[in-house]
Amino acid sequence: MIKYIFIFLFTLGLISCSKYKNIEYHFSNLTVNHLDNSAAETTVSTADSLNSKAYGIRLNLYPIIDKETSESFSAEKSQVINTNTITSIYITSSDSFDVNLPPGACLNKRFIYYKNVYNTFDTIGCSSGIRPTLYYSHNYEEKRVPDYIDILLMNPPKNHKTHRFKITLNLTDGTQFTDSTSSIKLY
Amino acid sequence: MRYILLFLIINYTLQAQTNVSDGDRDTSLLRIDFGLNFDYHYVWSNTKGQLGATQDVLYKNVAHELISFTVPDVQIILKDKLGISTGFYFLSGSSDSKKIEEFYQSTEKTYYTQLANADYAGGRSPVRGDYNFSTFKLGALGFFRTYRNLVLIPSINYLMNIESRYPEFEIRYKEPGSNYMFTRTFYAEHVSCKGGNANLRAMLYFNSFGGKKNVGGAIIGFNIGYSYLKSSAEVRYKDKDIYNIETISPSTKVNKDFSSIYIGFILGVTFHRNPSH
Repeated sequence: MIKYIFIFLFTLGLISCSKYKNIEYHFSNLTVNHLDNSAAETTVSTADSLNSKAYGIRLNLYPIIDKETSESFSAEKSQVINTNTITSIYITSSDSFDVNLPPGACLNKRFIYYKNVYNTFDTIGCSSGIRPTLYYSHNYEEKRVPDYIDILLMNPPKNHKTHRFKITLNLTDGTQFTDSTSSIKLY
Repeated sequence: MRYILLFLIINYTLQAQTNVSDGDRDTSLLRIDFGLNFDYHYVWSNTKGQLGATQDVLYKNVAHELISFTVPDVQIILKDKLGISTGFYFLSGSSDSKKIEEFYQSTEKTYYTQLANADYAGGRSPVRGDYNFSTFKLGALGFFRTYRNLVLIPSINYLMNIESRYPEFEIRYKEPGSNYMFTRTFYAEHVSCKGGNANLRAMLYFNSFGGKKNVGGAIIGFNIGYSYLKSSAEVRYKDKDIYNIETISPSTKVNKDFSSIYIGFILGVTFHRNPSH
């Protein structure tokens, strides 16, 4: 009887010791592109004018994997840890949105962080960060770490002006990334 | 419609006043039977209601894994040939999300759509695509010894609603040429069900072991039956857009009926006191 209890406990121990791959990564850079969200999915655009109602910005984050254990990866159970999370994001424009939003004003509340599944998003506060996720991504099991953030313009400016959006990211390790889009006319 | 292999566990208790295997009559006899019933079920459904095309495809579409079973199935003989039958009857089935998705892709022209459980990796879906009905079964049965050790047990049962659930679906819409999006969640309220069941069991009893006072034996049986479950609900949908503005539609009454015929066999053991001791 004791033998069987021992075998049972040993098996239980083996099962509980099963580990899954853990990944640690950090974001290494920032570049931004215009996004056209007029079709079913967002696409990077190089056009010099876009429909303001379907406008967005893609923030490319260039993740680098620092640590990766040898176990098998499980999309459900593996820990994917970002070592320099984004503590704040700051979106500004070279031109005014309206009388209350002159050039350089925080435009965060005009955008949402879009997770690429319809109607799944986070609002962006002027002093809050973004936690990029692959949770809703079609291929998050293959990609494992997020490499971009799509933000969508929800309250476009009423005037049809040319804007150059500047994005500043502050990260927990003290890094600050800044990049600007090319000039775009929003109509 | 789909064929389903079903396991039905019987917790089968008899307080019999006729000693089946010995043919003697003894009013003090207590017989207890336990067994397993392996049934092959064929379940189909029928939907009624003034549904629009969208809700029609959501609620009429039950294609996968319809299954029904009773556990435990308890039968108690109270009088010489009469008794009560009770237990819990369950029926469930899941919706065919592929058909629903195909419907949206082919008919929705105004918006781009995503069925919530179609695009998510890892099965993390906010959608419950299944029907579930739990009922309490209560009925009357007869206990008729026919030839030697063969007993026929017909029963008729009423199925009372304990808990019923219709599926919930979430369809996500995106407006072409715009960042505007909204979610439409179809859900059901006031879901209930009731039904009936007719069953016939033929059992062969064999005394095979035991002492002078307590006797045990084997049971081999045959089972056939029909169950009908009538469910009703009020279905509606709620729209929630990207600005968190919610709109709720008027409700529509839906009736969804499920029928199940089944056939199977029983293997079990029987214990009773020997009336001569």
